[in-house]
This record gives sequence, structure tokens and C-alpha cells, in this order.
Amino acid sequence: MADVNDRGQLLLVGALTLAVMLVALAVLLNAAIYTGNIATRDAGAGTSAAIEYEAGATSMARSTVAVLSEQESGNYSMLRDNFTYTIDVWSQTTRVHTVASLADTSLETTSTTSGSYIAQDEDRQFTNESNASNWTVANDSHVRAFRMNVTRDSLAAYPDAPVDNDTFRAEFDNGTDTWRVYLHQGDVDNVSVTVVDPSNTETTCTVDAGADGRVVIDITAATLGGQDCPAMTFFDQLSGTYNVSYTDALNDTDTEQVNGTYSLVVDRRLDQLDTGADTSGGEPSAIRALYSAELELTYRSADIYYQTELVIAPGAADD
Amino acid sequence: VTDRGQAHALEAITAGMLLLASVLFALQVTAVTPLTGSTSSQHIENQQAALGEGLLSAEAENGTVVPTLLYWNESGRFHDAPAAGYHGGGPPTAFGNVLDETLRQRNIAFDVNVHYVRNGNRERQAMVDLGTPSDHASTAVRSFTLYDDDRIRYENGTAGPTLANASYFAPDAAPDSRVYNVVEVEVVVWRM
Repeated sequence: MADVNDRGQLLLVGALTLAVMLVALAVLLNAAIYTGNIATRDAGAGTSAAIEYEAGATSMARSTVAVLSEQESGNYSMLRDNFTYTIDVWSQTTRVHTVASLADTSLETTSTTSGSYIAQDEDRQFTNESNASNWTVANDSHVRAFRMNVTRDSLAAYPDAPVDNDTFRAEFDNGTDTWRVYLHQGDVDNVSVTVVDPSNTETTCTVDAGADGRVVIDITAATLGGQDCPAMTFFDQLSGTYNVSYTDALNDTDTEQVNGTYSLVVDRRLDQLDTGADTSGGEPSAIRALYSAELELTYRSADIYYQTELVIAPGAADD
Repeated sequence: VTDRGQAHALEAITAGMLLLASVLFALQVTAVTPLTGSTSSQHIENQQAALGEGLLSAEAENGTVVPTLLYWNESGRFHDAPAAGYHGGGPPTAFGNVLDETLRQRNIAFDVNVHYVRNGNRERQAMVDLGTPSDHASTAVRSFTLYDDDRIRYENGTAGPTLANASYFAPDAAPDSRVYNVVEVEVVVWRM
């Protein structure tokens, strides 16, 4: 009898242990599943809000620099104050929204670079204000947002030998190296740009002028009629400041070799600028402008602290 | 006799523990996993939040949101909408069409609210009101900057007067700067 009693207790204890183990297993398994559930609830720290804030700030600042540069300003401090004030207004207004999603943001101007905006707004030959054929557009500068919009019919018709025939060109000279950008007609309805580098190698890009017979040449963005033109990507090889000049806007018989509009921004103050453009409102004109601005952006929330410097120079060659 | 009493007590406690353990076991083996189907599933909420965010950023990139914000009738409402916003679907603009095609046609309801700043306070203008969101709604937000020289749109989509000269729901945050106001567009989505 004693033996049988002992066996009964052992079975009971064994069964109990098994039951406890099963329960523990279930609890463990469930904890693992629940952890997985919790972990997938949050899609991460949500850095997209900070990136969106930066994208919004950049696009606002770029358009502000561009718009303010094209307006006549009485003096540079007015221009700077106007820019800084616009940035402050945007920063404070946007902050009302970001605070509602528990993030603190700020955008501040740290510095601005004064410059000049040189433009010819009406179709005209590319001579200076007193109709000289060869002239300096800007001296010792960097240039951004350099665009020309020319009619094909006005260009000289030398598809193959623009250099030998002295067609119109824009020259970039930093004292040691000179890069020349020739504009001329290509075959049939085309417009061509031929770039001559300091070792006299010629590279040509050609594009169809389109139905209106006009073409846009974006020199700093290196595009011709909206298409990439690798020949014009020489700005990174042009060290230091350089002179920008137009040569042979008229040919030997004083006939125009180019007609259209253009605009560019240089990082040289108007009072120190040596230019053939008119500083008192004629064509082409030169006015005060912002060349670039540096901003400091901060985005701070419970999970993210993000701070960055923005350099705003719309249309710069390295932009 | 005393010994037997102790054994009974122990037995009773053990039985009680067994009972509790089986209840615990029964509860724990029926786990609610992330894949358990239901309208309040976390996965569906995440998915809808991502859908809303993707829609907003794609349309911001396409430039259709700002023209819709400017589709404003100077009498104090969006064109052809009651004062509380459109309640039959998205506005009759490119952005509204995308909202309808992406959300409403898949039986996802949405509200679009525009938050703007007046004297440093956040205020709300409803653009689309398809009802009160459920408890399991997801939201996506994005900010847009309006400038003084942006033009409000007439009903046929052509440009009207500039914001600086028009009567618009949001005030000019700073009349002497080119920034008119910064608005936040909020898209709230939930399953119908």
C-alpha cells in the first residue's frame, strides 16, 4: 500500500510541473508576439517632418533671393533687411504649425552676400548701353543664374567654324585661363553653342530652336534649350573670380550677331562693379541684388534634434 | 488528524492555483497579433497614414495643392462649396480628383482641413468634410507657403486678383513682406 501512495503523489507533482511549464511557455510566446506588435506600431522617429521643414525653408528662401534680386533696391542694407524680415516672418508663422505637432523650429539668417543683377529684359542686340560691340559685363566676380534667351535668326550662320569667323561669344577670364562660349546657328533649324577651353579645344552642343525660333541657354546650369550641354560645365575648373565679357556682339559691318534677352547675378557690389550695363535704368541694366544667403535651420522634437546650414544661391554653377 | 488537515489545505491551494493557471493559459493562447483582421488594425492605420502622406507629398511636388488652396470664392467659401467645405468628395480641381481617385473610390473617407495663422494663433478652415473621423483615423500634414503675389482662382480656374488684394480666409501675416501666410494642409483618412 505504501508504494502505491508514493506513486500517486509523484504523478500529481509531475502533472503539475508540466502544466506550469505549458503556462509559462504560453506567456513567453505571447510576450514575444506582443513585443512585435508594439514595435511595429510606430513607424520610426519620423525624420520626414524635419526634412519637409528643410525643403519648405529652402524653396521659400530660394524664391525670396531670386525675387528680391530682380527688384530695384535703394541700398544694400534695405535689401538685406527685407530678406531677413521675410525669413523671420516665415519662421515665426511656420512655427505656429510645428509647435502644434510638438516640434520647435527656427530659421535664421546668418549672413548674406551682396551682389548685382545685370539684365536685358527687352529683345535687343547684346551691346552695352552705348552700343559698343566688345564690353565687360562684370569684373572679378562669381556668377549665378546666367541665362540667355536668343532668337535663332539673329545668330551668325557658321555651323562649322564659329571661332575662325569671330561670332558672338561670352568670355570668362580669371587672369590665367579663358573659357569662351560661342553662340551660332547650327544646321537647318538648330542653334549651337561651341565652348573653347584654355587649350583651344572646341566642344559643341546643338539643339532644335523649336517653333518660336528661340532658344534658352542656361550657362551656369549647363543646359541648352533644356537639354544638358556638358561642354558648359567648366565653372568648377575656373578658380577664383573671373571677368565676364561679351565680344563681337556686332560683326565687322556692324550687323548684330545675336539678339534677345539675358540676365545674370554676380557677387560684386554695384558700387565696385565695372560694367557696361546702365546703373540708372537703361538697357542693359545693373541693379543691387543678393548673390547668396546663409541660413541656420533648427528642428527639435522629442525624438529628433536637427540643425543645418543652408546656402541659398539659386542658379549657381554648383547648385 | 492534524497532519491530514494540512494536506487538505495544501491540496485546496494547489487546486486553486491550477484553476487560475488554466484561466491564464486560456487568455494568453488567444493572442491579438498585428495581423489579426479588424477595421481598427494598427497595420491598416499605418498604411492609411502612409497613403495620406504619399498623396500629399506627390501632389505638393506636382504643384496641385496650392492652386486648390487658392480656389476660393471671395464671398467666403471655396467655389461651389458650402461654408463648411465640400461634402460630396474632393474639390473640382486636380488635387481634388487625386483625392477622389486614391481614397474615396477605395471606400476610404477623408477630411481636408487647412490650418492658417491669424495673429499668432492657429485657425482652421475646412476644405472637405465627409463626416466625423472614426477613432481609428490617420492624419497626414504638410505646410505650404502662400505669397502676396499668388493669385486666387476663378471658378473656371483662371487667375484672379493677387492675395494681397483679395478677400481670403487667411490674413496677410506681414503686409510688408512677400510671405502672405503659411498654411498647413491636413488630410484625415479612415475606413468607411
